[in-house]
Parts: sequence; structure tokens; C-alpha cells
Amino acid sequence: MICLYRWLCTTTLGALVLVGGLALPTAALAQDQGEDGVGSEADGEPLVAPRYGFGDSTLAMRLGIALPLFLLATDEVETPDGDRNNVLPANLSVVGSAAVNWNVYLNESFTIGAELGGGLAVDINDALWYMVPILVRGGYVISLPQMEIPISAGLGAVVMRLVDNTRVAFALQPGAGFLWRATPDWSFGATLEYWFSWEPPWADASDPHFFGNFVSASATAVYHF
Amino acid sequence: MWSRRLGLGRAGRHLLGVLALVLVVACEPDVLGIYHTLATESERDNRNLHDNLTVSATAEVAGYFYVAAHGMWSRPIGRDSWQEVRRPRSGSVEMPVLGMAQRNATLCVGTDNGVYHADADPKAPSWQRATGISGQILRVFAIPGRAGEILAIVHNDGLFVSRDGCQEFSRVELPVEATASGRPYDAFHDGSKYWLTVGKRVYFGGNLDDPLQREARAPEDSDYRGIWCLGTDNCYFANRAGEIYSLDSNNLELLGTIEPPDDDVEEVPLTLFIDIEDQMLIGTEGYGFYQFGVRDLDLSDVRRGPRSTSQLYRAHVTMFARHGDLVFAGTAGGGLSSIKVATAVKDTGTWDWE
Repeated sequence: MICLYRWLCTTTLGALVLVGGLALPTAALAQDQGEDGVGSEADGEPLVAPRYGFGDSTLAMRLGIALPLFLLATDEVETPDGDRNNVLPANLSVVGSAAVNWNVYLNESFTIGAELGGGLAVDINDALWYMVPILVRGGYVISLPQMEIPISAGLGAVVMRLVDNTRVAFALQPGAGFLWRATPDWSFGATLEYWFSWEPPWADASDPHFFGNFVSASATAVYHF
Repeated sequence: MWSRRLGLGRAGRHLLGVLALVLVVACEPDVLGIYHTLATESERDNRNLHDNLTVSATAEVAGYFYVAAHGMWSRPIGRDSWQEVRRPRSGSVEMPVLGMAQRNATLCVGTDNGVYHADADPKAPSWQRATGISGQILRVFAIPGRAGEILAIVHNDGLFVSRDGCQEFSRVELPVEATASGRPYDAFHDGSKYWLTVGKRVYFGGNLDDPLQREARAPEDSDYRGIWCLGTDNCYFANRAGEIYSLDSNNLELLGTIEPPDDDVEEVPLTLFIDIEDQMLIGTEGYGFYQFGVRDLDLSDVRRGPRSTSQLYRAHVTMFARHGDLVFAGTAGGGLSSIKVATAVKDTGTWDWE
């Protein structure tokens, strides 16, 4: 019952953040289009996708949730039930996450940048778990008149902490965003990512390697400099 | 700055800083990884013991486990939920239980004023006060290797023994210089004689009613703590300086010293031993416990024991007890943890918080 309550609380909070994140930019889009937007058909001008080039940069902010899917071990591990398995539960609540990402265009489509994030959850015994991903992110942006669709992958390290145990894992985070251009400077939308992280057995080489698998959805705001 | 001499820009220096952080946090001592810990974690029942208990003892009687930790709790073996056990009273107030031992179906508890005994009952034992002993009891324990005898250490009043299941206690006459050296800590019967640690000294004797002899070969540099004997004249002694001595009829040998895991401390104070299958565990004050093989008793293979439960990893371990296929580790302020014997001897053993 307590578990269900915690799950409901976390999920509801995450959903509110997501819905809020999506609703705000939609309202802004409705308000701004036709004023200083990228153009509207009402102005009699065809919509044109803005062109970015080498050196143009963006700052993206994301706020969302991530679902812990499962953990994968290179060797079978004994569970509390006495079973031995490679695929194991993550035993974490829904993760609340946030990230700031700075990107530079290499040409009109390809970007490279850096990302600093954070994730927060509790385990099945209410112990706090948090993670700080530090990533290099490369991307390809499909630029449409009213939308941009960045497809990207982040690669780097994740510093994780559970109670007083701190560890580093390596992370790969591929994902795609769907962003509406609200103004020439701002785009808003959502980003979906798969978080894959590899925690080597730092303390004892005979321990198995572990791979964390999460799927993340976040409300995203992008500012174009 | 060295980084400038290397020609690194600001970004390069930040990157180096991140790499240094990665190396520092990735090279922590031999605790299990976080994903490993999460994957093998079991959910605690919220009706269980408080996390911050100072545990003095556990017992197993007639299908129930008992834990003494100022309060007293019991649970059926195989169940998760602990329930409170009524303690001895002083007037209308229940007294804190500071130690516990058992003999057959009798529980024997030390309080801040005397020792009490009762037939074990998971809810409301009918406590009777033991005679011949009073004052604040620091520890009550059955002498390993001598199950019929129960020792009680009394604050500022020495050592008492009961041979009738905790009904009557009599004083163990310690040499005057022993009591001046410090308080008794542990005792063991190796099959032919008793061994006791008292302050900075080790004593032995064939009978607790006769004067004990000082083991002159034992160095007197630090307070002695736990004793464990694997056979007659084959005993091991731990001290507050992190040293473990092996003492038999022929030799005294310093097996080794537990090295502090932190640079800012000089020694790892050791507490009590337990022997589980082929592994010896030794508790510490503040560093959980260490584990090494019993067969060769070679401290070169010593490793820090609890690898996933952080509450045990930095705990002051106050007691170990084995009950059937479970091992309990009690802590000062960190509650009680348990592990299955079969898992305890593996190096990936995961302790469950009780």
C-alpha cells in the first residue's frame, strides 16, 4: 500500500511537470505566432525554416521523469528470493529528472554540445538515490518551418549516490525531441530518451558488470542564441 | 598552476577536474556497486525494528527471535514483523534492557538495576529478579564453549557468574591489578580453561572460583576486546588498536593489524568475533566488520565484510550471533542486520536490515 502510494505520488508529480511543461509552451506558441514568430501564413508569407550555421548555439532545459526499466548483470546474481538471474529489478521509484544542455551547430544540421543533468528517486526502502550525468551530446536537427526535431545521443559519465555509497557509471543516452518554434528564439516541446548506463565493478573485478536501463520523457525548452 | 604549464585552457582544466572526481568516487573501498546493491535489495517491513537502535544481544527460543536494544522485541522465525516484549519493571516504568543471554528456554536480561530472568514469552514474560547482583549491567552473555554459565559485567563492580540459568549470581574474583587495568570485556572457554579480557590484560584460569592468572605474554599496549577460541589453547584476541593476536600454549603471535581505511584515523578499534563456517568476522567501532579465512588465519586476505549495506559499512558493531541459518549483527545506533549463513561466507553477501 505504501509502495503504491509512493508510486502514485511520484507519477502524479511527474505527470504534472510534464503536462505543465507542455501546456505552457503551447499557450506561448498560440500567443506569439504572428507577432514575432518565424512567420505565419496569416501574414501572407510562407513559413520558412530558420537556417542555422557553424557557431550558432542553443541552450536547452529539460524537466521530466524517467522510468527505471531493469538492470542487467553480466553474471547471474542471487536475489533476495533465492533465485539467480541476469535481468534484475531496479527497485527504484519513478525518477524525477532535469538537465541543461548547451549545443553548438557544426553546420546547418549537426550539433555538438555538453549536458549536465540530475535525477532523483528513492529505492524500495525509501533510501535516496540520485544521479548526475555529465555528457557530451552530438545531434542531428531536422529543421521544419514550425518544428525542429533534434535526434541526439549523449555519451559520458554518471555520478550516482545511494545513501552514502558513491559510484560512477558510463552513460549512453540516445533520444529525440519534438519542438514547436514559439518565437525565433524559443522552441518548446518534449524529449524522449533511453538511458543506458554501465557500472563496472570498481571495487572487485570478480563482481559482475551492471547495466541500467531507463526510459525518460521530459518537457523541453530551447533558446536559440 | 601545473595545468597552465601543460597548456590546458579553462575547459581542459574543468575536464580534468571532472575526471579527477570520477576517479575519486569510483575508487571507493570494496563496497558493492550501486546497481548491484539495488538489484539485490529486499523491501523492509515498515513494522520492523527502528533503524537507529543500539543492539546489545539477540536470542532464539522456541521458534522466536528476541532482540535486546534498550527495548525488547520478538518475532517468529521466518516472519518479518517484530513485536514489543514487556520488559522488567521498576515500579510502573519498564527498565532499559542493556544485555541479554539465554539458557535453554530462559531469557536472562541485564538492566540499569540488576539482572532479571523469565521463561521466554514473545509478548509478556514473567520477570523475576536474579539474586547476588545489582547495579547497572553493561553486558550479559553466555560464555562461548560453556553454555550453562552466564556472565554479567556490572558497571564499576566487576564480573559475576550464574550457573543456574540466571537465578543467582556470584562474584568472579578478579585480581586487584585487573580491575585497575580496566573493565572486563569478553570471555571464552576453550574446552579446558577460561580466557578473559580485562582492560589491557588477558587472564585465564581453569575455574572461575579460583584466582585467575595473567597471561604475561600478551602485550599491554591497548585495551583487549573480543576473544575467540578454535580449540584448547588456540585462541585469538582483538584489541582496541586494531590488532589481532593468536595465543596458544607455545606461542604468542601478532597475526596482523586491521589498517584504517581513512588516512585521518590511526587505528580501527576492534570489538567482538564470530566464526561462521570457514570465515572469522571481527566487529569494529565505526568501520563495520572485517572478514578473513579461519583455516589459515592469515590476515593478508582480510577484507571489509559488509559490502552493500551502508548502515553496516560504517557501523560500530556491538554483537554478532548465529541462530540456525541466520547471522545477526547488532550495531550502536544503526539497528540490527541479518544475513543467511550460506550468503555470509560469500564475498558478495548482502545483509538485510531487520
